[in-house]
Amino acid sequence: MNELFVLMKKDLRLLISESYFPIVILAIVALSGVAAFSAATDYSFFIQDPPMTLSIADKELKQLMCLLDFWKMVIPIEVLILLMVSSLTLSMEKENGMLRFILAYGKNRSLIFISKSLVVAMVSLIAVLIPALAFLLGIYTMGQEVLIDAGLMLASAAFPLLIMLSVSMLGILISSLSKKRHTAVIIAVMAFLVITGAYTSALEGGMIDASLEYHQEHIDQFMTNADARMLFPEDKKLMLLLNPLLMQEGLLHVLNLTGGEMNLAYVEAFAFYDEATDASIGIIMASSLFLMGYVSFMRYGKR
Amino acid sequence: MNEEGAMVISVTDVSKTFGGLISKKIRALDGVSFSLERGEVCGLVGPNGAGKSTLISIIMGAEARDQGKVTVKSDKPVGFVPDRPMFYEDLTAMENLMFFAQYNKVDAPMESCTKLLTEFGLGGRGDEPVRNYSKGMKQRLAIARALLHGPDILVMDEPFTGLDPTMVIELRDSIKRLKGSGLTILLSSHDLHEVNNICDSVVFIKAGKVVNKESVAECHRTMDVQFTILNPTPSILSCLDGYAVIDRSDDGHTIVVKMEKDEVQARLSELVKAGGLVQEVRLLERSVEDLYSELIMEDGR
Ligand SMILES: Nc1ncnc2c1ncn2[C@@H]1O[C@H](COP(=O)(O)OP(=O)(O)O)[C@@H](O)[C@H]1O
Ligand SMILES: [Mg+2]
Repeated sequence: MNELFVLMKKDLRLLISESYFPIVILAIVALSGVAAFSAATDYSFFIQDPPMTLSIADKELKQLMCLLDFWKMVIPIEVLILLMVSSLTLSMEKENGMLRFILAYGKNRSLIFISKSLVVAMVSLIAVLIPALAFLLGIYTMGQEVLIDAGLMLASAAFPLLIMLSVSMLGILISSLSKKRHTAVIIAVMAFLVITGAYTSALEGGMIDASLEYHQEHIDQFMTNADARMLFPEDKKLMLLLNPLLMQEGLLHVLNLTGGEMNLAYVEAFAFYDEATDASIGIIMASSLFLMGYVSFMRYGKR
Repeated sequence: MNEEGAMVISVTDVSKTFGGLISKKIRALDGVSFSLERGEVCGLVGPNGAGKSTLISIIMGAEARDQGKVTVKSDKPVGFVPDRPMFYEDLTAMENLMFFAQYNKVDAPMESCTKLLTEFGLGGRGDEPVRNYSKGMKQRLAIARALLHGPDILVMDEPFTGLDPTMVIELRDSIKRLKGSGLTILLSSHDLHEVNNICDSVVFIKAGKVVNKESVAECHRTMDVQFTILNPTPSILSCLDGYAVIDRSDDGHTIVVKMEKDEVQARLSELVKAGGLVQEVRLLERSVEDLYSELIMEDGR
């Protein structure tokens, strides 16, 4: 345990002293600021010029919807940031030879990997806490009453955190497979493009497929969420299942926006799975990526 | 040589090839075998690209070998000074040392680190990031780090490179001091003079193969003797038959042969008895350098 603590202290210290680290934090803060400003403005306009008389519940619902949009704006860019940060961890120490040097001491290899993983997990946590705080601050500075309680706010950060943990573990896996940091970062950026691209194309493509199929039989009717879930093509569903961004739908459950009928904005939020399934998918994804990284790290430098 | 049991490092038939898939195959090591006794200070000598660093990395377990066996007998991790400075460059020297001290569970880490920093002339500069250090300072820090956990075995890849003459002398003295404490040391070096000075034995390595392992004392026992004879007739010169002729001047007056120190007197008397007019006898001390030119450079490959 002591050995892990020593390693983590060093890894944290290394991360903080890294020249890119202030930029990363600044980027997260700036991103959160911009997104929070945009969400808070949206909310303010809605309150000032309401389409109907608003009950407190309506206001709260609108605030939750703004929070959802907020997270959807923040998440993809943070995915990129975390992929890059985590892909640097091991590759950097490989490139400057320190990893081999430390391994030559013949100490517990696993702890070296676990320490790195825990440090990026901490960064993931920071990467969701800063936006959560920024959102509340945004609403508050717009002179509006914050209607989301702290518990719900934190709960809403849970699914973004699962996404960040998954991509961090993916980044470490990339790091563990690359010899040079430049290779690692390039692969990380490509992974980001694939993740975001595949998510949008699979979701939108699948919806179009489902709706086309639906309207072959039901003319002049609206497709319900249940219909969409049933008609959604399996291959695209699988693609989404393998995509960390799918966990964004967990947010809908946490924020209670899947109800449909009474929805203020007349949009029916769509989700494939229930909250527990979404959470399990996230946990399984993060831990299997962790294991893959671990296995590849343990093989490093051996025949 | 002692029996197998006393060997703290033994390398048996180790081979290593780099590249293959995309790049050209390089056979860096080709069936290397040698061993070190406890307390032995051994120099690893050979031209650039001979495979010294590769061999050291394999002994350290920092590089995988293709075949062969490496046994290192030590309870503590081997102290290691790599061929190029390797540090957490953004951290301070003290932070670097402290990490390795704590990682290796050194007692009183703070005191040990401060003491070593001072000992290696870095006291008062421990709070600077290693990035700002000169090559020589990094080299000293690397040696301090290698000694931090009180290892039984110290492996140094070209420790003298990058050091100024003062530091070379100081390092030589430190190594001689450590030698007394029973530390087993393997060091590679281009500086044959230092190897001659410090080491008990020398492993000559060339193109991935160990050419010879010789004790420095043995190397000192034989020497090159230069005879200048005014009448070098074949009958007179026959007194020197059986000795390896190292050099001979064009006029035949001067001849250099290799022999053991205590034979010189007897040969000289024989020459004189045979009627030789011996003008001068010079004893040319043989060093690791001479051995190097014999073993590594002689056959021109
Ligand atoms: N990582 C590597 N990849 C490819 N070739 C290497 C690598 N390391 C060393 N070599 C090659 O192996 C040979 C031995 O190198 P090295 O052990 O560094 O020699 P020395 O330390 O004696 O100068 C050289 O030809 C070198 O180019
Ligand atoms: Mg070398």
